[in-house]
Amino acid sequence: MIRSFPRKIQFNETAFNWSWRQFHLSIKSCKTMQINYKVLPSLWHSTLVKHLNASIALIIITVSATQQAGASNHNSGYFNQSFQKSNLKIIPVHGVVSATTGETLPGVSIRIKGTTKGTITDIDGNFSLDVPEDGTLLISFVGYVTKEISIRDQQQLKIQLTPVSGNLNDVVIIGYTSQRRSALTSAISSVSSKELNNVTGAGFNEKLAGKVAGLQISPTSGTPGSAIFVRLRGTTSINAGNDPLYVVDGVFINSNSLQSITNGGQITNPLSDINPSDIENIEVLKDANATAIYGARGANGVILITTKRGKRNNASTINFGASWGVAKAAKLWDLATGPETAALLNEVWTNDGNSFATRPYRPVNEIINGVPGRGLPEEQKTYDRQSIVFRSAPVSNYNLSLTGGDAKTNFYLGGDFTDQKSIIVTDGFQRSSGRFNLDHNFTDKLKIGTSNMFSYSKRALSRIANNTKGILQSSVHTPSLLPIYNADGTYNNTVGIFDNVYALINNNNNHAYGLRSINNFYAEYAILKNLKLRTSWSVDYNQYNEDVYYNSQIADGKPNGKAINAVTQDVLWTNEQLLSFNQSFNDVHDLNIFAGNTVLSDNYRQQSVTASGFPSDQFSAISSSATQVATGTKTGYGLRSYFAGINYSYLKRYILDANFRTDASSRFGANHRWANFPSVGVAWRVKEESFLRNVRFLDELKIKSSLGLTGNQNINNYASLGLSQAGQNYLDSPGTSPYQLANPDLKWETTRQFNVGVELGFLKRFNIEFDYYNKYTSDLLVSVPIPAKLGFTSTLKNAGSMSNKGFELTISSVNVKTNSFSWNTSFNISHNRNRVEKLPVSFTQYSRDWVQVAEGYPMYSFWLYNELGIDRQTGNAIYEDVNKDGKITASDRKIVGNAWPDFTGGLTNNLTFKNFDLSFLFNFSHGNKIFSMNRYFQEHGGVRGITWSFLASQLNRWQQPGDDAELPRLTTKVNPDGSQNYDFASSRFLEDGSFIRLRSVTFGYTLPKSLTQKAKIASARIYANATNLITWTKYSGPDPEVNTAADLSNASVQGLDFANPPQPRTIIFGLNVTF
Amino acid sequence: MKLKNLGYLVILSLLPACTKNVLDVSSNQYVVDTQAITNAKSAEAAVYGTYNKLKGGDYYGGTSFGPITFLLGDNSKWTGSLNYYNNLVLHTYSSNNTAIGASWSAIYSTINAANNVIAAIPGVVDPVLTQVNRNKLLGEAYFIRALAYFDLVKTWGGVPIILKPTRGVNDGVGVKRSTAEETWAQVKSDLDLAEPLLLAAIDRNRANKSTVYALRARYYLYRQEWANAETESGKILNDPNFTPLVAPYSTFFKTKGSKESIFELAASTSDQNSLSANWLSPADGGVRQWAPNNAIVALLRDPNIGGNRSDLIKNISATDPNNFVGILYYRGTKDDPAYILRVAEQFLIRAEARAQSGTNLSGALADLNAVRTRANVPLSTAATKADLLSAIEQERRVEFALEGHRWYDLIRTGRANAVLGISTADSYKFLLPVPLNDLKADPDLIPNPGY
Repeated sequence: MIRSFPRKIQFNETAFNWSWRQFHLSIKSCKTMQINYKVLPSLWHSTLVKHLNASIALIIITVSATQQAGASNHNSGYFNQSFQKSNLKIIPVHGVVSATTGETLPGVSIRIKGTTKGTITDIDGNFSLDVPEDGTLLISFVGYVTKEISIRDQQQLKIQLTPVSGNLNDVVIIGYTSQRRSALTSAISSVSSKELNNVTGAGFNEKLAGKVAGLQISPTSGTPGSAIFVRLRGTTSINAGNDPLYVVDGVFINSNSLQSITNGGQITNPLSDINPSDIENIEVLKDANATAIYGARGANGVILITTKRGKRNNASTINFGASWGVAKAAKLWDLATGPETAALLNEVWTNDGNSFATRPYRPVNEIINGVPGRGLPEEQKTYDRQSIVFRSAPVSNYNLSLTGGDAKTNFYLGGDFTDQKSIIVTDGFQRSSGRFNLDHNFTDKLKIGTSNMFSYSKRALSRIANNTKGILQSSVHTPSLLPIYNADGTYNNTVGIFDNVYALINNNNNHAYGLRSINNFYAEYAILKNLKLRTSWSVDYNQYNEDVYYNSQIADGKPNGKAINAVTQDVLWTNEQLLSFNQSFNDVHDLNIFAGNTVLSDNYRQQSVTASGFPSDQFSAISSSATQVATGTKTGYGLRSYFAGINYSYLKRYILDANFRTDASSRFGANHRWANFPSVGVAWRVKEESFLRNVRFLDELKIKSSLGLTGNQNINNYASLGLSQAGQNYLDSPGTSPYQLANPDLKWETTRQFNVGVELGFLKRFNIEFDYYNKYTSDLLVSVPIPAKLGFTSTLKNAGSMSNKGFELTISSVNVKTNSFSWNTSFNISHNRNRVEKLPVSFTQYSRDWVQVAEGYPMYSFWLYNELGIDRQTGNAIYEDVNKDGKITASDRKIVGNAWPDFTGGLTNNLTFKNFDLSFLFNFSHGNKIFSMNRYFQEHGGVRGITWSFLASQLNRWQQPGDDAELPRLTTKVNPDGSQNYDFASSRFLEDGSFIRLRSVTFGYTLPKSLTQKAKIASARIYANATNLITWTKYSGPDPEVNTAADLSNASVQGLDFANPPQPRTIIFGLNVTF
Repeated sequence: MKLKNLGYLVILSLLPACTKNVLDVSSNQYVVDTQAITNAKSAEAAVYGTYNKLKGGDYYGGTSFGPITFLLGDNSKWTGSLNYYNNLVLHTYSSNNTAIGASWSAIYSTINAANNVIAAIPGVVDPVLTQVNRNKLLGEAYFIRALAYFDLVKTWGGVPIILKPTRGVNDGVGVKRSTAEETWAQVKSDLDLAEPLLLAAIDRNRANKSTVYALRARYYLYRQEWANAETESGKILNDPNFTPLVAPYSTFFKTKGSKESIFELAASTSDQNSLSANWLSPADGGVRQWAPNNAIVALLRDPNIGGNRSDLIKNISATDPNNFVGILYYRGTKDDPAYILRVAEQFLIRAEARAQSGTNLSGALADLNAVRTRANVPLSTAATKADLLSAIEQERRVEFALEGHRWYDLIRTGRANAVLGISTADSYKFLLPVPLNDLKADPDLIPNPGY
């Protein structure tokens, strides 16, 4: 180490790599210095400029400035220039350059327009330059929009630079390395923290909706912290999972819910453990060349999350943000009133051939066979239960972060507290989280660092959606004419199949507590200047504790109370080594090679105790109960992998990328334990060719293509073995019975993906990226139905294939860019066509058989009776007689649509005017179908009698010959052709789920510096935000995006809507302060 | 030490030693199928596992086969959310009916469990396993298999007969449906194999010689071998462990393992029976998926017909006199047994056999009146064969109001068309459709006619 600073000094590139601070000190003390560098580090450069006319007597600089790319290029030329003399008055100008976020920017290039004269900013963003009095400064910096400022006698300048989105020089993290965007051969989208935080939501993944082409994001329910449906470039699997792989700061994390207690089809989103405001950037890796390096887990795409880290040599800052608001359902269900319900039921009665005199809703004093009438329809009351269950829910968020760094160390400390109440009165989500990220140069060659997150979440839950004892069915599906209380004041729950709504609300005791710790430690050693070895150790520790108590007032707690406590734990260990080599040869060949290995082990445990028989409702502890039943599960899997990659570019024009990974998984049969996943990508930057280099309007033209294989190993841990299971008890004695058949040939699903894309930038305003892809998944892991006579109904086989073809288009533009006003727009649209190419046997999914997986059709296809209309004479529904046998039977069912959208996308606009900013995001989906289970059950035509409410839409039924009605004649009887008007899997309930949603609007105001600086505040912004403000859709239900079967294995069902709380409209006010 | 060397050391110490192979995972919940039955203890466990299959939710538990047997009769109505149950009540079922499909596979799953026991137990080498115990376990598996094929043949007719444990997907290739006669013969053969192996000691929750007699009596009733039916039921009715009938009627379902039960599948709070959840109303913790229909409610409440069998139902509405729930399975703790063979059935089997053979009409009447006496209804005075058979039919309907006999009784006596209003053209419905999923998965399987 250098401890003293000689008077005379020579810097050579091959010499010891000095830090900037040492250089800064030495320059002050040197009189003569010689610098032999190809490129002068930018900070040295600025310091030299500062001292040029000061203490240094002689500086000999040998800088080969000709071939360098990037920021240093034009700066180094300065030293070969002298000041341009003129008659104009030269004035000394001082200034400071900062980003719009408030952080000062070092190394920014300041150039006098029309000259080559200029300087760069120092570490604090300051610069000084002698400028002609009429001069104009050009301020440019990598990743920011270049700015022009005319001097006009100003000697003190405060310059703010706005970041450019989609800039070619942005560094993009791709798996184990990083590349400049211009050098990519892959399809990768980035989302910055700023874009993320314009939407209210518990998890970062729900905030991605509409922002990334090819990424379909749909919340499954309006309850905060619940599961999000995420599909990247379609669905590649039936049984092996379709969620992308999530990697946070290099840690593979668990994205499966640990929930064990069923809540009506709803499950949690484990990613909502992560505080979105800690996230710096999200990369979405889409094509095979980007994902093949993740081998057997890459088939569904990879989402890389980078959290915020401190910057070196940066003053410590504190950032505080807070927001408060309220969420409310924008739309609920429109139910038939009490009188309407009674009138409909009377009509059913007479339509069924009964006499009008005996109708159920007749005067009370008309007693028939000892049964009094229920009163005339108009005497019935209407009881509204929805207003009891739904509320305006307060939401709030507080986050605080501290960040900074010196020459050797940088750190980030962050924390948040989020409290989002649900629009369902009983539900809510709270999260407290903390983060600590640190990087430190232990020596000049050894760098160590760590990333840590700890979070605690608390959920208040209730059973919603598909659960007859749940709170939502109780409020929406109980006929509106049934009183809530009995005459004696007790809960009325004896009629019908639903529990009493107040009983459920007042006695709900259903909580879940999540603990999450994601930790990573790494060490990186520079063996040579260009050869680095990195080792990293990570753990994702997940724990989920569920605590449910049904007291004796509600159906599930009859007769003496029931409690369930479950503890689920998942621990995922990862160790990785990475050796990487980077070298540029004469600036012609750029080479980047890496190789490494991964060892991964996952352990899952679950214990659950169900207790019943409590002495009274005051007791809810497991130990207070008479009977306890415990279950326990332990399972795990392991992966061992080796990988390597090479990225080579020639003249920065021709780029070749190749990756390879080989994986072994414990989940697969002994015969197929190892699998190889290669990929290759090429790109041609046409713009760099001589014939285009001088085309001024064109900024970029790149053609790229990739091809590769990825895998999917997400099946049960012991799926390949023939097993007998325990726990099959009788007489409370332990029993065993056959569990599954062996399949030693079980192996990975393999997805082959081809991608071709074009990137175009022109007029410094427009960027267009277009990608076409073709994915083909073979060896599909299918749970194939086998003859039940064997004692098993299905077995897992590699027995199918599926394709996904589509395109993605992203257009971003800078519409207006002046000093005071800017307006950027970004639009994306994507299309995916999914098809099951081969499948030995078609089969249905979900407890109802409406969704079928069949060869030649997409996943999520609806298998229904195709309703052609209504016979105007009889009022009966007419269904398509597919096999023309004159009867309507199961063989007349066919696939009549699917839940896939034809197009999805989003439109983002960001506007700033002076200190005001406005952004709004629309997302849309077109062509997806929804099966409205609410209509199926609530337009029941009388079949469900008094047990189920009617939707108001039931009133649009056929009543007399000649009626041109929407719904057929009310009846519980079977039609002559064997069909039924109601309670029949009719295509009538299949609706268009297309929508356009104003997903978010944010309006902000940044307080003027003059004001904030007095309070020693670097920047302060206040804002208002509305999420889900308006939705345009023809869909009859409250929300076109929810899905009732979210907990079904692998979310293999989409587009079923059944009493799910809609996503609320949320309006918040907030502030952000940086000190 | 130089810092440079320290760096190497840190890196090297972090490189994985990896003595443990992450690819070797083990389970504490499963064993490899071929290793499941190896000694006395695991043999016993496998038999318990077979009983568990028999009482499973889709077999005699609350969701599929159990409800099929009583919903098909004319005593129930559908009051819940799952309409495939309504199709059973209305006799509008098709081959994709969820409950029918689940029943078929649950029964075969039970058969496979029994086949595993039958195949493995003779080869178990364990001094702890006595010959008596070995025989008993084997006999229990034969009995359960007999019951399973009985349930298959009476519901679907002839079915594929599988007698070996399944080890691979292709094991059943070529096994086509046997005829009904062959399937009945299999039931008989398994019962005959079970009898000498089983113990005589009464165990109301596990198979023993008496359970074989009782099921064999039912077998002969279905096969219309009246003399044999009389003989077999007599073995039960002459046994003081079972007769006289316990009174009042409700004793048999209010008391677990009552004298009435020849065979009931036990449940406990930790190993539940979901039938109560489907019968009871939300006020009692259920979903009331189905309920006794108005006709049976009227019969049960008639003191001359139902008598104290009205304890099977209760009215849950203060205002609506027709809002009844069935409370045969009434325990909120969900530990109701499932009743498979009980003594009253043996009385009525013998009564029917005696009436049919025509040799002992007074004996038939006495057996009928034994049941009526217990129910506290006036004694029957039927004197002719026809009157007796008609009275027995009526008695069976009421005595087993919420149990699964009615449908099969009407079919085996040829009365289903008349009583259930099913037209002769629709008589194919007397055999349920073979599940659609199975027809697709099994090229050896053919559908029942009419579907």
